[in-house]
Amino acid sequence: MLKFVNVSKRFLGQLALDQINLDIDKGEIVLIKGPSGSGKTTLLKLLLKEHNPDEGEIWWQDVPLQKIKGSKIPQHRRKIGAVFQDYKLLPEMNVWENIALALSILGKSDKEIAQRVTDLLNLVGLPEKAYHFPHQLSGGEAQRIAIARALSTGPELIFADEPTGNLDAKTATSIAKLLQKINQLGTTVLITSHDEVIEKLLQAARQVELDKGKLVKDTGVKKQKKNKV
Amino acid sequence: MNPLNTALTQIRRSPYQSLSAILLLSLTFFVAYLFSSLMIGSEIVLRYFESRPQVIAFFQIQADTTQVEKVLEQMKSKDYVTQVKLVSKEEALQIYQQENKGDPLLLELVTAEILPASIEVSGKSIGDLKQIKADLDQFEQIDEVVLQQDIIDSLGNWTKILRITGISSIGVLATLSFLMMMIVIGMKAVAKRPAIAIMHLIGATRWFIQSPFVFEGIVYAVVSSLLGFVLATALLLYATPYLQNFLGEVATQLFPLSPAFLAIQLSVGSLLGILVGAVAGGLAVGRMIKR
Repeated sequence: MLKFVNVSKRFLGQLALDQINLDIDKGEIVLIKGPSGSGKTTLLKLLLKEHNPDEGEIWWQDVPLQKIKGSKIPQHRRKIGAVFQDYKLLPEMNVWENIALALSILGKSDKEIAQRVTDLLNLVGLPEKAYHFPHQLSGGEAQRIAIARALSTGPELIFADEPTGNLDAKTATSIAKLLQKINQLGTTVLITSHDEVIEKLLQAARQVELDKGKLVKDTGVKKQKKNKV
Repeated sequence: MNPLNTALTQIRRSPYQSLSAILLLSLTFFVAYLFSSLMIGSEIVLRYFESRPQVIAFFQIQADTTQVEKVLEQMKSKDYVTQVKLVSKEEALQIYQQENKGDPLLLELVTAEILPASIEVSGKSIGDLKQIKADLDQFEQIDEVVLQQDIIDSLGNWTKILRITGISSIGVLATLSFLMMMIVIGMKAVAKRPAIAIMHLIGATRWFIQSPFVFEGIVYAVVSSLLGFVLATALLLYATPYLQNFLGEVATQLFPLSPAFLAIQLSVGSLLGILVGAVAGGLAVGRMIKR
């Protein structure tokens, strides 16, 4: 489903990713861990085509990302549900509108949007917060809404970049459990984190470790399948 | 969430910014409507004055009625001639008698036979008068053609200056409105830069991001245009009696204000505003959007 082949990326001459090879299958849940600056976020940026790799190729659903034209990038991004450490909710929109936004980008009808937003609010357990604005939410609630927005378009992959970075242990656990639940419903989930709570919770999942841009450990597909969460 | 609804929500959620934008633009539209009324009014007045000067041609004393009629018909047939008035020998005598009624000696000496018939020809514009003079000069039966060239030249210069000033003023105002709208919407777009970046990340197209700002520009333009129009028209209606008094005979050409003129003015103003608002909104946000 997603393949990084000898991918390297430099920012201002500094190596952010160094010859990364990674193969993610459909339905997997993968924890990508490593200290700050190890290149975890760069993986997401390359996948969303915010940047292009300097070397190597990224394959998404058997198509190299390099072949996606600039005008087709929005369509590509809609297939990936991105969850960010800082939630990236639109402050001037309420919870309902934030989730509905991704659906209106797809051109869904108002009726369909209403149904889907209601379902997603129920899934993340926050139906009563529909008309709250992001500044009225706690960190955990905001992240749940961000996850709901990422799920709204029905993506095949959820890439959660440090989703618990700003949260306490209890909230982090609930977010990790929510991501596990999403994976169990069939969506491929990639989580980058250096949070021990997450690592403990996902110890049975496939774990990939980055350090200074190099892939230093990959527990592999086989092990992950054996110990499916 | 269609773009218009999103734009209206944006306006509602930043009421002070929107109000100041609308007030600023209303002021521009108010001045633009007043200027356009002034321009069109002065154009009517200029046309009125342009049609006043006449070329006067005096026939030879011996010219008979048939020859006079022939010249009259030929001049009437020309496109650039608006009016041809014949003053026969008898009418010339009446005018002479009227002007010299206090001097019986002068009246006794003059008969219709010794006065020439004449025609007074008006053109559509001042520029046509030279051509009319040239046409009249060609007729053998005409003895003398009178055209006050210095007055005509002076009036022509003034009308030219007024037209250039008016067109330049409207051009400057249109540019100002455009820039003002771009600045106002641009400021809003700058404030929304993080939101624009997020929309990009979740797969929004350029048009999806731009369209609410384009509609916002259109809403500002329409509301401001209406407000500016109402204010300008109210002021003109209030000033009508004073202007009628000041302009005298010319005022009949201008007042009362024609409802058709007002409707056309509002439609053209609003259409231009919509165009300017949409382009300014699109351009302001376009600069923020980088793939």
